[in-house]
Amino acid sequence: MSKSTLKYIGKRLLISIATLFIILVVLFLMVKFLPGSPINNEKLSAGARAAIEAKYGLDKPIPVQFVYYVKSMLTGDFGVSYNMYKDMKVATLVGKAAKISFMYGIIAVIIGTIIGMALGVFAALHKNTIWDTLATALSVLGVSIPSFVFAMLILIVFASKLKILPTGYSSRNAIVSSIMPISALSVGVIANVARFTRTEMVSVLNSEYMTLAKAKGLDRKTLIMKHALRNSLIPVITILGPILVNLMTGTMVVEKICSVPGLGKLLVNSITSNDINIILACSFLYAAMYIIMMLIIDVSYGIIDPRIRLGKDE
Amino acid sequence: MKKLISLIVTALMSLSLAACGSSSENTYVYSSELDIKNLDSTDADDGCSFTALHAVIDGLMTLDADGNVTTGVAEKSEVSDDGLTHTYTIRDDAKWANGDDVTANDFVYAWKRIFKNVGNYYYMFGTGIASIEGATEMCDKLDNGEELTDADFDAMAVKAVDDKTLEVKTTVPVQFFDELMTFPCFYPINEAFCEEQGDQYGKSADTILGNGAFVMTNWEPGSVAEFEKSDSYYNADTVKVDNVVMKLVQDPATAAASYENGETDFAAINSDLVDKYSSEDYYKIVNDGYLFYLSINFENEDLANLNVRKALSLAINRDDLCENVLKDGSQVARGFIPTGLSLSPSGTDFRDDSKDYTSYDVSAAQEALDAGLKELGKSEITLRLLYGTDESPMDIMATYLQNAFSELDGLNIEMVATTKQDRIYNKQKNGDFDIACTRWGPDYADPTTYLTLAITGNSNNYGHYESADYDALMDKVAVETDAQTRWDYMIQAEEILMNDLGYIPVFEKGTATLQNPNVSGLIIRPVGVPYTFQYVEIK
Amino acid sequence: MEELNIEFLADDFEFVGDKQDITIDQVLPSKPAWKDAIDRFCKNKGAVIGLICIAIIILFAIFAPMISKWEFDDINTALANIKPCAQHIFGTDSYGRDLFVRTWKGTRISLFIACVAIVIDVVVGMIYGLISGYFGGKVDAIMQRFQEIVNSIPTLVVLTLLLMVMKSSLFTIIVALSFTEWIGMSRITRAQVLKIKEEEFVLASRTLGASSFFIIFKEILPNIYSQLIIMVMMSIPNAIFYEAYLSFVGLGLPIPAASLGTLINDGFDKITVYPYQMVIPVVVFSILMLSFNLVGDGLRDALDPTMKEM
Repeated sequence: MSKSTLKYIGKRLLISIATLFIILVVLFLMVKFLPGSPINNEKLSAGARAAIEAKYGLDKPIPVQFVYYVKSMLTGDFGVSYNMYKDMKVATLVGKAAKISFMYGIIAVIIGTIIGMALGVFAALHKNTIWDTLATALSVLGVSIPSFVFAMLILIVFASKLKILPTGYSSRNAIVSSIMPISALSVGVIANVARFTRTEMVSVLNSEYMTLAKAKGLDRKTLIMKHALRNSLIPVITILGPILVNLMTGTMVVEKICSVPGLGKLLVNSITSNDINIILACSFLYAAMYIIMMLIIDVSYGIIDPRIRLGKDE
Repeated sequence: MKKLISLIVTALMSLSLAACGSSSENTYVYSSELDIKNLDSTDADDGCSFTALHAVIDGLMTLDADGNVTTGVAEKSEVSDDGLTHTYTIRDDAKWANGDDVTANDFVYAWKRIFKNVGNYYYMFGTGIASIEGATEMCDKLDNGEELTDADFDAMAVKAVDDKTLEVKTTVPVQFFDELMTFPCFYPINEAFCEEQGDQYGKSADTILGNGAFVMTNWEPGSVAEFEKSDSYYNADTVKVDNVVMKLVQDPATAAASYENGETDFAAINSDLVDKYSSEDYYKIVNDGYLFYLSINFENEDLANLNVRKALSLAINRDDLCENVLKDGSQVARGFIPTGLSLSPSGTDFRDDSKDYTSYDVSAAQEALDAGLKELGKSEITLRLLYGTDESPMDIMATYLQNAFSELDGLNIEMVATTKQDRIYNKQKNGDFDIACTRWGPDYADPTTYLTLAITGNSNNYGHYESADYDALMDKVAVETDAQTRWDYMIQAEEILMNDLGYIPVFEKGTATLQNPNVSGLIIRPVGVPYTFQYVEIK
Repeated sequence: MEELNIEFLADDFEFVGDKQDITIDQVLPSKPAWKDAIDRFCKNKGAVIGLICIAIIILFAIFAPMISKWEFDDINTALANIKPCAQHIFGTDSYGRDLFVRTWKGTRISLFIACVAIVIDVVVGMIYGLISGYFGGKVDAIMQRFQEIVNSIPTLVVLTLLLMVMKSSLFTIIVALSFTEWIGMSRITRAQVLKIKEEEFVLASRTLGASSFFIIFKEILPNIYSQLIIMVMMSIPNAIFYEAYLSFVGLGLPIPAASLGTLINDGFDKITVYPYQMVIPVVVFSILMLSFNLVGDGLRDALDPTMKEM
């Protein structure tokens, strides 16, 4: 990598950190303005609630709370849960959930991308044949039917009827109990990736440089692998980033159906119980992942398609 | 390709078979819709945590195999003649899982700790509930944001007379004091262990020490908690299972599927699934203890009119709602105190001693509404119906009521959907509602757990119902020493409240469950600890 | 260079006929571009079928609830959970409400939300992406940061806040939608613009002195249609399901209104008991999606001149 590229990446990194800080401020203000008190046992008297709030320092002015939060955050302490898991360390809770969600998300995206791209390329190469129609129909179906329906179908068929898969997550049996949620998660990825790959492949295959490459006598394999596929990657990568972030940070519905203790469920449950420290930590993790992903995508654009040079941003 | 598929299938099969064999034969698996929040009896405030806590810790009083209150850690409970001093003698064989004796000091420590840590349930010690001498003063101080001094703690009349004798003084006779002692906030805590763990006490399987039927071996929040039979338990011969597993399964359809799969022995399902299972022998209905009712905003001038409220109550076909829509064993609410909550001194249920205040009559409802509209001088009124979408079956109740109220001419209903959070702590608290679908679960087995809701100035009286007669009666209830007279006062109080329709009761929630027919001895209670595993037996 | 030695033979040539014929050009009737596009679209069977399906669904959505003798919100528990029959073509739900009426009533809402999504996509997302991608540099950097900030805050947190100030209604859904719906579109547009703007024809246009406005809308936009149309078509199911998700967290349509999303959500809970209650709305929904996708593909092929011969 050249010096200017490194400099660019460094600069982007700084900007990303600044963005993250802004997001943290926005998030912090948002959770502080969430309706109701984080101490929300209906049976507490107003005075009792105030007393408990004071115990957690929630009665201090918001800027003071923010400074305190950032300080402890930098030491890896994200506070304690107020409701869901009373007084447990948020860092531990979120960490455990993130481990599972990250693993599921990454595996689902890898599987989904491989199958999806294969399907897309296959359809594009057999354009306007029955294979193409079939592959397209499959991917359209994948986009049209929500993932929780798939999860439920897998649950009914493989767990209830055939009884070869367990119905829920279990840490003792991590591999087998992961099959169901990961398959449900990858269906959407397959469908999206296949559609994008096909369209992009078709347009690349018809471009003049492909005709030229063909005329030069390149064999079909090099043609597709080196030229067509490489040039079709950009839009695929563009959609892959957000998909990866979304899957890694957990999808609530699939997690709920498959009883997976992941991030999505943690976030939703923390929002419904107004557990602000968990909301903050989950949201911030989500934001951080997203920003990192954007960084990676921007950098990889330049590697895949040299025409989009990094320096151009300057 | 075919080979590959068959290979994968075989691999899967062998893996899943391996999975099935991992748990021992004599394991009871309970699936829960909610998660365990906390195992620190100072802070625990929800049914699921209570269930887990009671698996590990026994209080002074506990439940027998039939679900009745009996002595637990205490072998003897004595009350003085004036009803103000309770003396408990602790069993010699009551031991903590680490071998320490359970002492009277463990209780004194635990109870003071609630005030020290500002635990959620400190108000349980104060006036109207346990009414322990000196506790009310501490409650007031905490409520006003004042610091507690050592003198305050010393003033609380909970005393370890010796290692095995605990003496508690109350300001008024509390008839349900023994019953209260089964409630988790009155459980003991081993002081040495707790101090050693510091702020991590009760936050993981390693940092909880119990004296009860089971020992917690593993706890993964969001997923599972596992328990093993305790050898040091004083009543160990009543414990028939080796292991208990509490599994978190949030989706009812998944819970039903894992039950059918044989992965669990207990699963709660919802109204949607009842039709599929209601004829099975493993289908059982459980009393939930919750009363679902409508909270009325008396600041709204239309609703301040008694006839309008009457119309609302008469327009609800509660039978139809319970029988044909909810179908989960929910019963029609006949008054503000649910069935099975508490018994009179002579042993009859409150509901049987009291009257029925609810009925269904559309034409009477229309007449009442017409009369109300005339008094208000309006031709039609619009009321907002507030409900939470994330608190099933509140959505079912709201759907049904919207339709029922809309049948009346001159009444328009505007639906306000929100989350439970927002409903209670934002909308209801700030009076931003007309009619709210809400619910209340009992803290202890006495009608006052409900009746206090209607007292002027009560912090949960969001609709500001005010009645001088009612308040006067409730004052009498608080100080009355004769059990039967107190009971009669409460019956009169409910009558005032129901004739005024300060709240409109709708139904008493039931829960439809799937329970392994080969398992017996699961104790289910609507008050306090919902599920007790101690006597569970697998045939 | 090698000397060529070519010998012509008589049968190398062939008589082509009257000379006058050659001089006459065969003139096809002149057609404006849009007419050409319509012709091409009509030749695409899938697209036409899709369009017909959408038309039928729209007709049902408008007229079925008007004609039917059942009301979409009329509770009658005596009629609860009836399987599809002559009286109730799609059966009834657990409250005894007719699902035929509810499905079409729901389709109305979902179609409306789809329209709103398209408008937001095109008006906000596309223009944002075009500007950000074309101008690059500081403009792009700032716009990208803003977009990152908006996108990296989980929607659910924003929604809960929205709840505080707004009542759940169709309008709230639109507000919620406009908060995030445009982002996917703007990202795709930007990526495409980045790719296209380095091409020679853009350079040529710029050299000729074309304004940025002209280059963006006349040179770049027509060349990125295909991806954008797919994106729009993909965002429709997202938007419709987003609405279902909203009703799940309490921001959706208030009771007793129905949308395809809420119907699927409700039916989902009963899939093991009364499968038809979910299958029917899912089928309607999937047909709708499939049709949108087919029409989208057809439009892309018809509009994008570089794609038509493929």
